[in-house]
Amino acid sequence: MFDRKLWRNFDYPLLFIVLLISAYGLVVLSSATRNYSADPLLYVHRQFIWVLAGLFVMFIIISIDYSNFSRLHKHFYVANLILLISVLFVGTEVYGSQRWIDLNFMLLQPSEFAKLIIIITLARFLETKEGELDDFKNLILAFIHVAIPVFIIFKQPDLGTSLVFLAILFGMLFLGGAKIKHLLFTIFSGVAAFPLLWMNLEEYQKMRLIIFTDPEIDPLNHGYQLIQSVIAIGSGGTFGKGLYQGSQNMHDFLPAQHTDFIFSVLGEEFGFIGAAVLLVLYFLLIYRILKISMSAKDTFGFLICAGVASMFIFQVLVNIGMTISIMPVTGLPLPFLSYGGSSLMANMLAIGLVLNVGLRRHKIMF
Amino acid sequence: MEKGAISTLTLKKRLIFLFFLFTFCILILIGRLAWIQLVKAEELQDEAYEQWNRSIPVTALRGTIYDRNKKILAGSATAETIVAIPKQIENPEETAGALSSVLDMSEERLKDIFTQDRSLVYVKRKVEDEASQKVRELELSGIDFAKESKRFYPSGSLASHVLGFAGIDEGLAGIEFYYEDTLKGRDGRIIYQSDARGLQMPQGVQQYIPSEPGYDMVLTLDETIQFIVERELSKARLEYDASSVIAIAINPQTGEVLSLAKKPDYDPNNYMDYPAESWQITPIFATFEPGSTFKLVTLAAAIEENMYRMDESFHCPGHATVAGQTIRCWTSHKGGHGSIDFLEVVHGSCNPGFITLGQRLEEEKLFRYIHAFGFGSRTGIDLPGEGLGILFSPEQVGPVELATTSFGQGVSVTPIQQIMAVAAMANGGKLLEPYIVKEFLDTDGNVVKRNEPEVVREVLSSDTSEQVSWIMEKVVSEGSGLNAFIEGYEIAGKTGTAQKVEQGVYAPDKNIMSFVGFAPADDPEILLFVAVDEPKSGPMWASQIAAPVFRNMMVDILNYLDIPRKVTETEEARTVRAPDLVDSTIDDASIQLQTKGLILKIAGEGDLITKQTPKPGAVVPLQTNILVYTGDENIDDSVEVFLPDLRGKTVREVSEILNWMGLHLNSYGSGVAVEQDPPPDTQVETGSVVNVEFKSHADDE
Repeated sequence: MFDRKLWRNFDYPLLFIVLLISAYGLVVLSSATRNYSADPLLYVHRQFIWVLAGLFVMFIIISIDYSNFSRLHKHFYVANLILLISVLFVGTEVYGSQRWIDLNFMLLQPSEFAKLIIIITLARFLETKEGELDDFKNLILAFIHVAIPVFIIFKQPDLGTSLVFLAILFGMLFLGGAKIKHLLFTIFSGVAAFPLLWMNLEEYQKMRLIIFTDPEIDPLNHGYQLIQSVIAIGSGGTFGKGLYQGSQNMHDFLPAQHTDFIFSVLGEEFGFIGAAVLLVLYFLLIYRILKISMSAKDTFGFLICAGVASMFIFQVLVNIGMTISIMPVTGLPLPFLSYGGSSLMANMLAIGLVLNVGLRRHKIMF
Repeated sequence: MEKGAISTLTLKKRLIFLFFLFTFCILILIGRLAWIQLVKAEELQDEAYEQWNRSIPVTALRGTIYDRNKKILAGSATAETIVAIPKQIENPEETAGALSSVLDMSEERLKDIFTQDRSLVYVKRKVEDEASQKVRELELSGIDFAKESKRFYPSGSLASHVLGFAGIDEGLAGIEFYYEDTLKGRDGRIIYQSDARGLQMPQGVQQYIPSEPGYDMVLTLDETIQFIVERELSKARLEYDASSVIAIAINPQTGEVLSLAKKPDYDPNNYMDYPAESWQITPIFATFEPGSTFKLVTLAAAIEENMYRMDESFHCPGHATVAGQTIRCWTSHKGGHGSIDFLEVVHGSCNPGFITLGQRLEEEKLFRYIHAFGFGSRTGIDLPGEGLGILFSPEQVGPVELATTSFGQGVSVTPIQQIMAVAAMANGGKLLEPYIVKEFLDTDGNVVKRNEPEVVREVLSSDTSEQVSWIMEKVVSEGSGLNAFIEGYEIAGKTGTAQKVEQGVYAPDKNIMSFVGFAPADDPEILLFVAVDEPKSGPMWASQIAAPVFRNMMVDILNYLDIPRKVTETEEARTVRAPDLVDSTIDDASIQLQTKGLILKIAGEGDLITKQTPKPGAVVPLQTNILVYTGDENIDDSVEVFLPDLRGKTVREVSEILNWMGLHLNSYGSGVAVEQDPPPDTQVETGSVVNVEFKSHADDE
């Protein structure tokens, strides 16, 4: 399928880091979901299968030269839109949001994969406009490129994922060579347009933003998550309470402790040391991705890495920041840790793309 | 690498910038984590602990209070309190509906309780066993039970002022309040762990911290003596229509309080049904002007200072002039006591005589003794709310103040101060600290602490004490205390009559009659103080009102304590000749009877006595009631008469009075008259029937 010699370029450290984080995630998940069902390891088993499946698709992706994705960008873009729109019609509603398509064996969350598709298509778009990004018109086009799928996701509603797209967009524009001036202008116009966004937010989303400024306003409803999360993490202390020993986790005080707030479980049971280890792992993950991006043979590959890095950076900072109350609650999964097949698969695919770029960094020498 | 128009350098810069930005953010996260996990960890750990550890209180069993013979005065039973864990109640409305009738609470109120945002709330505390059993049978989720102790007082109102009462959580008055910490014990709790929904974790650790019962207490109080005292107080209050009556009995050798009572009282089982004023422990709280009983202090001081000789002669012209001011003796209207000796000064309670003693002592010595006897400071009795009393301050004392103080005017003392001062005179000169709790017992009945008699100071020599006792004995056997005399016993005592002071002036019709005395005089075992506050009927003399009450109590107490009578040389009972009281005023009659040992009983509304029985000159036993009528002289001739107030009189007295008036008695019950029909002041024809209801003390109030 592909040249064995390519393996020389394979970035084993990156894969190793991903496996480490995933393993760490499985351990924490086993604690977070211990009381969820009669079989305490049910969720761990499922997640483990997703890890394996994720690794499998990752290698499939790796085996296909990423330049093929560039060619298929139109198909990708359209397929993506169809999938996202279909969610609005045939989607399954969970917690008031319609983000999933029930595939019987799993709830597919197209927005997770949409992130990857947008990274690919935007990379392609920016590659074609290479050198012309100082033209504000092209910037607008790039915005529109992302805005269409984001609008649909925003309507699901899923504020957190929508914001990830913006992070990807800005990251790729920044690294793609857009003028700082333009980017700043866009950010300021975004801030200026905030009231417009505010009006389009759901009540709970507004509440999350208000609560972020002062969780004690409503400690039992909206502020509850923030306060509980801080209590859980803080009570973990330096070394944590030990696996399965976290009272706040075990006694269900933590909200969404297997998905968005899994870091709270980790913080409670493994303490400051455990949390710092995870942050170091993420740091290394981003470092490897950016390192690979530097060695990409073309702008397309470089931009794919930039997009993936932006995505992970944003999700890690916002998710963890949220659990320790320095970011508002947005409902973003923590990459490789949060329970969820779509998210994990998409993350694995993202890593696959980066490895793919790294694998094909040089012209193959015989 | 081909990167087109933008230079590779710019890209590299941007990449490095992004990387450092990320690194910076990661450091911020680590910093924040360090803050909450390292710095604030302990605080947040406490918060976490509180969230999932919930507890149901288990109240400690309150200690039992016994009298000195181990009779239960206050006991505790366990009662169940119904608690709710709101989060476990699935349907507050249904649960409220089910409990409403069983607990006799409104559904709205219950629903309010069940929807409270708290982990544990009381639904109803200390419910009857029957009710808690019914609730148990309902098997409602989120409804639980906690054991608490419920107080009961088996003897009802007996000794209510001493015992006080315990409210739902703590002692609120009396001993219950004073010894709260000792009686209460330590509450226990059942700690269980719950999850965020408040559900008890089946695998959660249940920890039972048992309660520690409070200590039991044995009082110095004697239930029987208390009963005798209260019975007589009730009778006296009824008879004299007094606003209140109080009594204290102590052992003058030790300071142990044997009885402390006040009427009206209250039932501590239902203390809320009584006004808060009725909870006050008047015998230690209230202050009053002691009057003649205070003369004992002057007497004792003068003897101790060698300024008193019994046989020294004294002339009482009925008044004394001090610093230009005339101070009257109670005998002033008949020209004073005349020429008497100093023993008679005491017997006759002669004010000028005591002024002379006070002047001999001078301010410094008199007040030194007053303070030495404990006036002006709290006795230290183990009951809450003790009063202090008021004495003239050194700056205030001029010759007039010195004079009035020496016979007990212008000072104010508490009953407990008065009785402890007399105890010092009786017991050889030691001022003792009164106490009401003898022993503290643990659950196994072992004595963990014992209150021992405590001598505050030596006030008198034993010689002086003996002399004072001897003089006081003469007051009872020969003087103004004759109505307290008991055949076969040597009783020492002193009367005290004082007007009450209201807003700084003497209230003309408000008096306090007191009597303090002890027996046997040479080796006292019991010291008793009685005060009748604001009697509205009867002669306004302590010898006529307080002394008989004292006597009635003392007879039974001496009997109960098995104190043997001294076989005196005269075996027959002492007798006196009834004086002629017809045409005297009530006041004159009282004075005539003052040292006779006869008790005046009055009927009618007039000023002058028109009839008396027994007839003048009749030889009657000591302490016989002389019934006098002050109504219209010519009853026999008139067709219509005004009915007198018969309340407080005995059956015999009422029938005698009605007989005089040509009326017929139709009586119900026995004891003293409480109700009459027609009511007092009604004009009735002679020959008509008057219905009078009598009640004995036991079922009064």
